[in-house]
Amino acid sequence: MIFYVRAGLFMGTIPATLDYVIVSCQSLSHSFGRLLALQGVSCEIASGCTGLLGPNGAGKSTLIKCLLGQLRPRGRISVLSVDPAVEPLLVRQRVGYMPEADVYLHGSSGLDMCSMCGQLSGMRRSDAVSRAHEVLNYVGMGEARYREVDGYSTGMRQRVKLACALVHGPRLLLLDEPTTGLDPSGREEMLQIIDDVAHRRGMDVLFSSHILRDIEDTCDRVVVLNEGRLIFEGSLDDFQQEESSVLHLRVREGRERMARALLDKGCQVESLDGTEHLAVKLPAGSTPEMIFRLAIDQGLQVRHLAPATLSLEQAFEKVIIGSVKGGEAR
Amino acid sequence: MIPEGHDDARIFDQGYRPFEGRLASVRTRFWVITVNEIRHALREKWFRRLLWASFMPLIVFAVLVVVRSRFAQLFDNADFEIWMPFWGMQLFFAMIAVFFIGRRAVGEDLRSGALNVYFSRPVSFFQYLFGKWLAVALGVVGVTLLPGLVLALFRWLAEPDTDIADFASWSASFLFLTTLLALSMGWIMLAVSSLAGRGRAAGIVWVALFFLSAGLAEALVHATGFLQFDALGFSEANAKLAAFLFKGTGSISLAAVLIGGQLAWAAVALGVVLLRLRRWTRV
Repeated sequence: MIFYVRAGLFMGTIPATLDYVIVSCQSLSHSFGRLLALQGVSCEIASGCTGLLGPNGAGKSTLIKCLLGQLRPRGRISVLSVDPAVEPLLVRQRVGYMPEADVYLHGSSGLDMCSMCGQLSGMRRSDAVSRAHEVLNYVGMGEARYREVDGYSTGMRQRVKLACALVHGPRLLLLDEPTTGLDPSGREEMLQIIDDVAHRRGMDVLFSSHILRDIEDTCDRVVVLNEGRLIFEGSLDDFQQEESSVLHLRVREGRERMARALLDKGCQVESLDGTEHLAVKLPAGSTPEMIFRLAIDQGLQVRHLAPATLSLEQAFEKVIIGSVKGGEAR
Repeated sequence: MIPEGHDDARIFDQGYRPFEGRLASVRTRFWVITVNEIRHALREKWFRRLLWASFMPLIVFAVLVVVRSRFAQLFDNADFEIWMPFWGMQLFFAMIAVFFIGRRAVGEDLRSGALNVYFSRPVSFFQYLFGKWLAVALGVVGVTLLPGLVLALFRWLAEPDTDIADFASWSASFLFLTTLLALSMGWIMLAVSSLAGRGRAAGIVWVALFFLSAGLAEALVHATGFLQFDALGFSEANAKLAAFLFKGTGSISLAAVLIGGQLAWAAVALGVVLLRLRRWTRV
């Protein structure tokens, strides 16, 4: 069943309840000295590709380290139904992690490093070497795999780190800022690989980034953190959804006439720059049905009517500003 | 088809496949680290040469044993002692072996962020530390215990006046001395490596520490007449302990002090490593 969901064969017909929880946190808190890195984070992350969004210092990397069992936070946490505080090694056997920092094994080639990671995850040496070749091919590392990692460019190092995270065939991939330091084409290729493993290879991905475009291109859901607090958790569509009463409207001809009619009915109407759309905020108690009735009265044809969505940047700005104001009020 | 002017031959058509093999138990991960460290050291030709060279004293002393057994009348039995000079040479080889295997062990991992690689895998902190130490310890075993056991076996077989009890006694002595040496040298090298960061700096500090501690111990013994000061030099303490075990020189109380000295070096060094890696101890 899960395979079919991932393959997208029955997308839309299989109910969303088939999604299973890969990460569950309850009242998760962690501090470094006086600095509160996570403050009572509670969330349930479902299978699929989830973006972990937040500005620098929001607690994204801390959360990932808690998931790996590298940090011992207060509160309850479960990764693939295993508590990383109790069985960190089991969690790390099932999870692939690509760290944000520039990490490598000194004096090792890309192939050595990748096969070493496989062996550390429990693979036999022969399996690990052959598997390392497979995943290095997959991430697009050519003959450079035989050179020492010390001499790699940032893009190559990112690829090797991703290959190391994939080598043991994890069920969940934790990616911490995977596109950092990449040039535009390298970034594009990295996002394609992430999209492929997440949507066509049956792997769950938790992808931390502060680059909103990366999340928008690859993720289905987002978890937004700011100053160690969870401020949003849900689908990307919900995240980008403007307040429900604002609608985007396009009529075939007579945009001005429609706008005037809407204004007469007490709506707030704005013309959207660069498009033929009108942003319409309905008065309290009205339904979108009213717009269709008005269009009929005016003899106009409605071509598009949908709830307004924000760009990810706008949505992000909105929730971050909202959380900061909320924090100040507290 | 690779476009003209494209210099790398990337293969994009081998999509990702999940790994369907079996993953081994997480208990033996230290061995992967140990093997990796030794494999890295073996890539250096000077280390390979050292390994060969460490068996040269064995050959020299084996020839001496044969000559002595064939021409016994030429030798004064009371003066025929091969273990002390043999062990002295092997101690020197052990110092160099530790230099090659251990100088990059922890420091380079700290510098290159490799700890993040290890601890994002099913590897515990103690498996990591034990794996690193075991690599150095096996280097010590390779250049001290192995040649020692081979020479002991050869002497037992070649000399008519020795029996299996002698062989067992020599072997036990070598095993004991090597264990102490692996503990002290191994942890000291890891401590030096963790503090120095770069492998080259760690190597220089290690060699300096080896000679300076021995020189200091020797100087204090000469200046004060207290043999217990030998415990201050981990190599010196081991050499004097070898004299006690093979020749019976010194007292049991002095031997106990010398053993304590080496264990204290190991304990202090382990403390330094734990302090340096304290961020990771709970991983």
